[in-house]
Amino acid sequence: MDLVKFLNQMDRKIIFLLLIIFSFLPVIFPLGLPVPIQEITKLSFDALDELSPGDLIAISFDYAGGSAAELYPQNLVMMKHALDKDLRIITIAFAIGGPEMAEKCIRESGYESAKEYGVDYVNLGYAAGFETAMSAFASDPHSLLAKDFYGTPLENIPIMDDFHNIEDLKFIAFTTSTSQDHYIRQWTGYSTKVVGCIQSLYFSVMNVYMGTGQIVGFINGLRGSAEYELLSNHLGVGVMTMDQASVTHLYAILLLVVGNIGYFALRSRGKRGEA
Amino acid sequence: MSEILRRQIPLSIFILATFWIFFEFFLNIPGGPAITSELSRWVTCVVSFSILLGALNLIRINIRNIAQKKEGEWIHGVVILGSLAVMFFAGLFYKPVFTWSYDNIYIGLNVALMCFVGFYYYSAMYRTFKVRNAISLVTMLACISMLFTNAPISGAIWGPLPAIGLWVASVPGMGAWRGFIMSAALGMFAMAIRAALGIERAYIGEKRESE
Repeated sequence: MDLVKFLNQMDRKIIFLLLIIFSFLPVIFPLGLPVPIQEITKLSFDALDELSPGDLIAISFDYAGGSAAELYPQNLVMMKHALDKDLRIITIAFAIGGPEMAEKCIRESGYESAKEYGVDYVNLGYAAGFETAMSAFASDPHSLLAKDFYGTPLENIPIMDDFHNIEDLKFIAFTTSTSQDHYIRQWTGYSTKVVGCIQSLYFSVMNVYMGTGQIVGFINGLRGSAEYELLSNHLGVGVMTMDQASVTHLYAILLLVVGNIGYFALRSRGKRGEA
Repeated sequence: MSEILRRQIPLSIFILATFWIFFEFFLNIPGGPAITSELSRWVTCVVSFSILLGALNLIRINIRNIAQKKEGEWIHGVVILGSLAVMFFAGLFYKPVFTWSYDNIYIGLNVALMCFVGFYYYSAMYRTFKVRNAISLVTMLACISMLFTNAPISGAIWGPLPAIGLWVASVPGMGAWRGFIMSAALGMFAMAIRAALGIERAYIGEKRESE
């Protein structure tokens, strides 16, 4: 078979099949590679770690199932860390699928079994209006929502007596599968430490806000999740998938290189043909 | 619908609300924050209604598709309406079913859908990402450096390799994003001024003169 033609017209099914193989291989034969901790994750971890027991924090869950693979492990490990530190948590969602993600996270992090609802944690549910709702959450959450996710009036939830504006929170993390600018506009500039939980593709954008000092750190996709898991000693999905990330990322680079070798080989053959 | 109802009232509400929010932010108006807070609450109510409107529209379109037995669409309509009904009633009356369905069906299907996209990313990387000129070469090098940065194996291959991607993201990447964010913010500001002055009226369904 003509190698140049093969390099240029490799069947999509082969690419897919190899991706499946490369995804499963590290599961069967783990590489056990070390995961170096990046500064952004360490700063996010430290921001939560230095809080005192009983401090009030908030996490927003602004994503649904599609982004859960990358974002949910970040929330889970952060909440496990918050539980270790005995912090009180308020969860809210500005995306419609978020309250269920928060509920799942509360359950799986151990808050539900170890702490008392309404006293140590609360799930405020969905707040419609996106950026307007974020603004209202920061300035006057009691005007934004009358009830929590389960229909309990906020005046009957003791934890909400201590939360009247964003300055009452020691730490707030936003988790989003879309743009982060809204959170920066509405939640930064206060004494509250802001951390972002994002998908890897927004790495450069978040660097901008790190540079300006508007956020104290961010968790960068599954890689960031793995680093946070190592720092907090709660190993989970992040660490488990790092070998897969290594192999599949290398495969992506290999595809780029192979595709271009084929492209240049074909181009040089064309030039020779013309000559 | 009269001109006043269709055009003048929505425009007046928009202009007044915009100017109020703008000046209240910069000026210390007594009682101002309470009014702004109330306006934010109204937005929440309006958006909540838009969700209801979306759901009703979804039901209407799918009932029509099923009634007309529209080729290749009616069966999807049955699945959508069935799922909507199950989740709606389970959410209202039997939470365990809702939670189980959400955790084990909805999230699983969503993640599977995203994974399909992932497969096509890999195919696209091979098929379309060719070094045709200097700009595409720079883009590809940036892409490879970021792939190495996110893969823990890169440090094992060559120590400084992850730092290259970090530098790309933190220096040229950040510079480019700063430019993008600033230009987008200026664009938004210009758009807001146009809308506040009543020049931009697309949000009340009016087309521009050029259209």
